[in-house]
Amino acid sequence: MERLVGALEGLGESAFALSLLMCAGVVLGFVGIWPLFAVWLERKASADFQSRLGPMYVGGFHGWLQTLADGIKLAFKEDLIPAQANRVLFWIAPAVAFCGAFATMVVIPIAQGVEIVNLDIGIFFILAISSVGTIGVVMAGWASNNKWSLYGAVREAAQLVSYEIPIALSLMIPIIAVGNLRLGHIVGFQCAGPEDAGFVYLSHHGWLLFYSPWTLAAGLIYFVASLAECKRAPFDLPEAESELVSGFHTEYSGLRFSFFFLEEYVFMFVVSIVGALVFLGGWQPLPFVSFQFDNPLMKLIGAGILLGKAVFLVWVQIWLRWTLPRLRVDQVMTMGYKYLTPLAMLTLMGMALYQYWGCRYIPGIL
Amino acid sequence: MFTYMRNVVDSLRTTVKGMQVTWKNLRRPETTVEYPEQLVPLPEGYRGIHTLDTDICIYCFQCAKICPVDCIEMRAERVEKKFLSWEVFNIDYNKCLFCDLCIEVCPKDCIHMDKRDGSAKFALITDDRSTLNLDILEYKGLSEADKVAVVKVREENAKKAAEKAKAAAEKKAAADKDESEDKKDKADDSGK
Amino acid sequence: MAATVEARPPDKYVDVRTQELQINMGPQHPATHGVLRVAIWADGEIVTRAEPDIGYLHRCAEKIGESVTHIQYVPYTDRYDYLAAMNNNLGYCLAVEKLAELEIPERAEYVRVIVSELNRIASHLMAIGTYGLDLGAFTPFFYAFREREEILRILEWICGARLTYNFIRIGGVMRDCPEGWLEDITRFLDYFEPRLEEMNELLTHNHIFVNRTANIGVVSLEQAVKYGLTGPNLRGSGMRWDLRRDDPYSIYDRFEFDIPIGTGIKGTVGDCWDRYWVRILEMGESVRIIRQALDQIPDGEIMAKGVRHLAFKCKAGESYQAVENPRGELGYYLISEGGQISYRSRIRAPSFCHLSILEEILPGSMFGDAVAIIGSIDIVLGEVDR
Repeated sequence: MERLVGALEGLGESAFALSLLMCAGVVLGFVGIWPLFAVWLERKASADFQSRLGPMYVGGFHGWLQTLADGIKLAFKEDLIPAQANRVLFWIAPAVAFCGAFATMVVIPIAQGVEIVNLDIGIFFILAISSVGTIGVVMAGWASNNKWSLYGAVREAAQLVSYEIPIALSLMIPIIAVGNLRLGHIVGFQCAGPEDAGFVYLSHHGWLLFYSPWTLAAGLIYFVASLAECKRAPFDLPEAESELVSGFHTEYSGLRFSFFFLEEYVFMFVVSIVGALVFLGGWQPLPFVSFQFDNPLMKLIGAGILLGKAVFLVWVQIWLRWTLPRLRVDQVMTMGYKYLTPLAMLTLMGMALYQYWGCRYIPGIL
Repeated sequence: MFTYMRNVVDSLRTTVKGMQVTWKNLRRPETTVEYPEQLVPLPEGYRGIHTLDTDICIYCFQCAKICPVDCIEMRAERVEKKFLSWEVFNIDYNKCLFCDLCIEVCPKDCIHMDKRDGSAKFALITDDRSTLNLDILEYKGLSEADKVAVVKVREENAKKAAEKAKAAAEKKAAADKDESEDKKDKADDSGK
Repeated sequence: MAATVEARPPDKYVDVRTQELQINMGPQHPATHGVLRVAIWADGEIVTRAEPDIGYLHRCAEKIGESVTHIQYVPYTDRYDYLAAMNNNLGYCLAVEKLAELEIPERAEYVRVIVSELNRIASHLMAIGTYGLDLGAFTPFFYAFREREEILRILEWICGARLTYNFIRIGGVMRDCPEGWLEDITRFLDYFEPRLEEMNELLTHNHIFVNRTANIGVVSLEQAVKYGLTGPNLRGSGMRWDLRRDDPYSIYDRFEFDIPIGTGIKGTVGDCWDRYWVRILEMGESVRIIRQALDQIPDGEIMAKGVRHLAFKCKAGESYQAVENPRGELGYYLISEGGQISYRSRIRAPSFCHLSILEEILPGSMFGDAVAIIGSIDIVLGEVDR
């Protein structure tokens, strides 16, 4: 895709704009289709965990069209805005929330060298842009003129701001090893091998998760913090339906509601794919054995592997959601500030020292 | 510090344990069924819609008298001085408690509650409440077509159940065999 | 620099509290277990005042008891605590039988005990399932319902209904056990006990669950007695009081069972976790009782002689009969003037008393705790409003 962008760039400004539109279209298409699958997956997985059948009717095979039917239903629902709501904010909020999740897709490499923008601050960009969603949620809660929504919004703001620290720190740990913020480089580090490597070779470092005990801990911290970042159970405080009815989207219905819904599932995918890229070797299927992913066919396979890993992580998130009770709001804060942040800092320090002394005294570690 | 570490370990341990339980349940067969297509057999004596056997009814009005909610509306007409015939026998299912008292007081055992088993209809679901005031004289239990459908569904269900039971038994037998072999192996090991 | 800090009046920057937020929780709220409305005054996430508001499900139950005959009133008793209809039937029938001085056949007594204890398990399963749901754990709810479904199937088999049974009648029970019914109960009990263990692993000892419930909503024994709490809520506060043992009715004096009480294993005595844990243990005790009843059940009649539905009359007098409902002490007070209809019928509903303690224990808790506390006292609004 980069090459495509480059080729079109040569054609002039209008073609460049066209190429950007095309990229946006690709991302939007994915963002539209992925939640259909993810919601279906969640429904079926939860049904399986709970000895139920789940959707079985629409589409024939295990109700695979159920989410599409629901989406159509949502799209045709009456668009309600509460009388006392702040109409402008109420109207913009879902779009802002959605943009946060949507824009992060730009820097994610789906296979070796296949990404829309090869940004040199990739991870930093994801962390920064994903926070925009919070603003949308706070806007939604405030504009609804509903006390439950307000509670949800305040909880969301507090929770997301506090969990950004451990999530950023835990992502710093592999970056210490790699020394680069580019997502492509991080995967490249994990499959770095000898110069004259053949198709299959033993990589120097292997997956970053198994690179050192510190990265293993960082992976765990990242996973837990990412659950909180995408408002999944046990951290689903902003929309805790037994406490706050529906939290920040209590007053939303129809298409606007579905935007919040999409945002949640897209963001689940984003944190999972970032986790897969940074800790689980991206498109490399095995921890310490790497393959050459240079021709288009291999790239396609690599993209499949990467997506598979992301879907697996999403599935684990779903599994956790249907296992655990919800934390209380102060416990969420305690968990963020007293447990995850110090542990992440400790791990960061450990990793820094490990890296420093490891390079000096254990030859060949870098 | 000890509490701190214990909290970390405990939360991880119990989470993993809980996930084991949900995983175990993931592999168990589902307990729900696809309702209108697949029916759960109802027991004998299920309390459904009433049927009245007018041939043996002696017009004693006891069922209407015992009804706690007065949902039975009945009126009989005198024919040729002695005989009575039902003019109206309505039961209002908006009110009915399905308490079975009308069946019990009947001295001739002529009023029953029908199972409507397997009639593949959402028996009392309606969008018009007035339809719930049923004329029991009209309603004679399941129609012939319904009865055929019931038999068919039952047979299918029985077949499925038998297949399932067979598969389960085979699986169990295999598992038992494995287990006994395992035990044997272990016994051998310990013997050595 | 220090001087400037001191110069400012301390309350201006220490006290950052602003306006209290009044929130209307219910009657349409996912966690109020029916149609309870709680007006909550909250300071941020902390509840400062709470007022339960009832009456959304009022159905004139007591007045109906004074206008229909005793026999006709039994199906109405199903509808108060609809999760434990058998126990409600039992209480009313015992009260009427006391007035009419009826002799109940042995077999009927045993069937009554079996179905009431089964219904107690079903009710407790519902209680712990929805409690998990209140705390955000969905899956235990479905597991509890799966187990409850088995019980409902067993009860449907014997009486033909799933929720409002009207099975225990004045003078006995409605039907004799169908063939294979008693064996099926044994099979169910064998299946149920390991499943209960699973529930403990999944929910009871879960770290998050313990942290959400331990030391929350503590009801001291003194408070519990003062507010008239009964049942698991009183036992959760550490009092060994169970009407089945302390004022035996029916044939409960023939069975051996323990009365579990809250001991504050995870926190303080009388916290939410204790109340929850008492319910779990009670299900085990119910299983014990049912097993004994299944061993002892004799053959014979199931209905007392001389109970004619349309002409059943009580002697003049009054009677009070309390039974140990899954939720607590359910009492029926009847005055009869010798006819078919009670002159006065009064119901002492446990949930009504339990609800009144909310006002005392909710203030000071956080919002999530408020939900946990309302769930832990396990009220049924049909019974509260009657």
